Amino acid sequence: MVSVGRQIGRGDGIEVGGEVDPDRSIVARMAGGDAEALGELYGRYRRPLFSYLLLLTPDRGLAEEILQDTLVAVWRGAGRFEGRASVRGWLFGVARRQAHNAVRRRVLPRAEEGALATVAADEPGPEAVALAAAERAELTAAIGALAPLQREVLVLAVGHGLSYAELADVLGVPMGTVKSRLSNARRALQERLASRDGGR
Amino acid sequence: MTMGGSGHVEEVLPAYVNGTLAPAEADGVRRHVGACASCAAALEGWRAVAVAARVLIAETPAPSAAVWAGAASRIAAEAALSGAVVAGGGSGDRLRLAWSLLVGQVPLIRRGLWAASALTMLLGSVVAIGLVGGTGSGMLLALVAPVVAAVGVAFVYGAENDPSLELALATPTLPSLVLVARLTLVFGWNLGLALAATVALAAVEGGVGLWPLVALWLGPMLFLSALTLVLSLVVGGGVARLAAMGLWAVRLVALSDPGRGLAPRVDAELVGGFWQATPLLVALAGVLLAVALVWVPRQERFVAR
Repeated sequence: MVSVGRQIGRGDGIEVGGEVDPDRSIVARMAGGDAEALGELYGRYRRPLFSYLLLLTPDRGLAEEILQDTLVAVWRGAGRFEGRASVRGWLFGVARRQAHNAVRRRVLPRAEEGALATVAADEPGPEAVALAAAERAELTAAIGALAPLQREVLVLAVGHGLSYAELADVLGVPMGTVKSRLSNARRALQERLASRDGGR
Repeated sequence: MTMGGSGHVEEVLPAYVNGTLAPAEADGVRRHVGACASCAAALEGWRAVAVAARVLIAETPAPSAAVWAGAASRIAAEAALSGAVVAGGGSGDRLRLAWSLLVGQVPLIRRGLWAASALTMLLGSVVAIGLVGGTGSGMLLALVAPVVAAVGVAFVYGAENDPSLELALATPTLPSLVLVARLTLVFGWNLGLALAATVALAAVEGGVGLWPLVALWLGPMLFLSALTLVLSLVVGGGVARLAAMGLWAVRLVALSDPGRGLAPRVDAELVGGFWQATPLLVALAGVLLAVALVWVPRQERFVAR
């Protein structure tokens, strides 16, 4: 069993050791009633959060509405933000909850657990070959075609760079579920690409 | 770190790719991938997926500016309310919160409104002081100020005036507080302009008290503005502006045509007397404002859901 180490910050190869996380000081200022701090946080995360919300709902207007709800909720919750979770994980988690609230309010269909395709566990073909053949656009399209929950975990992990701990926090599931969901997503992606290649 | 089975390192590859794996573990992965072809291939796969996912994110359009503007105004409204509700809050805090609520509304009000009011009022006072002079100048100002303020108020609230309003009100908020904040800004601006014009007039004319001049326009300004506000909420800003100007035109005609009735139903003396009864006008304005404050939350409840 491989243990998941503590997270060391975002980005591949970027050293953050010893540095104070700027996000934390921003949230601390927000808790003190500094509205400008919220603006700073929004400046840092508006694109990632909006992109994530568009993944959850294709309706742009609704996504903007949820983004606004998220901002207000983040402002309200800044005082109760607990230092143990990462700011980024907290933001994505709030956005996710707001999205679910909004979707429930509007009685729109949302991503169902049951929509997850059960993936066969048999040995996949050599991945490198499948991926080398796939154009980037094709891969992007394949990600877009994944089941909602798989697409969500995949994009959050390798697109937004969330750690396993952050993912567990955002998605509200144990870390083991995060890992299995990720590998299922990966496998579903491969199958999709393989069947597309085979269909030519 | 287990080096044997091919599945063991695969499980942490996403974290390895996004750089969130602890350094020691990342070293382990690096060593293992160097020796295990299957995991090396899986790593390449994950890297490609990461690139595609980042492209997907980078290609996302930016959210519109209304998102931030709406959130800021909602937060300011909440802050002002909690400041008013929390008994322990100092008056300084409350003032600060009220100020932030007002400032939050400024960008949401049509920009041209400020300049249009100022220009009209300036023109009115220049004509009054320069061309008319004497007692007529005060009257001219009294005719310009109320209608300028009333037309401005018709721009205060409503989806037609503020595209982000709908978004701001999409979740439970305090529409009446937003209304009061905007009204304070727009009406306050016009009130300030009218006062400045009156002070200038009093200074130029000399011998005229400030209050008699103010009394000429204050009552009509309050009443006409309040009426326009209610009309703009109920039937829309365009109709409200027309109604304000129409009502005002009746007064002008009554003024220019004293003695005779305009039409069988319009008594010039009655019209003139009404517009000069400041206490009555102020009271009526108060009633209309109360109607507006009751109307807004109800209306928004219908619109929002």
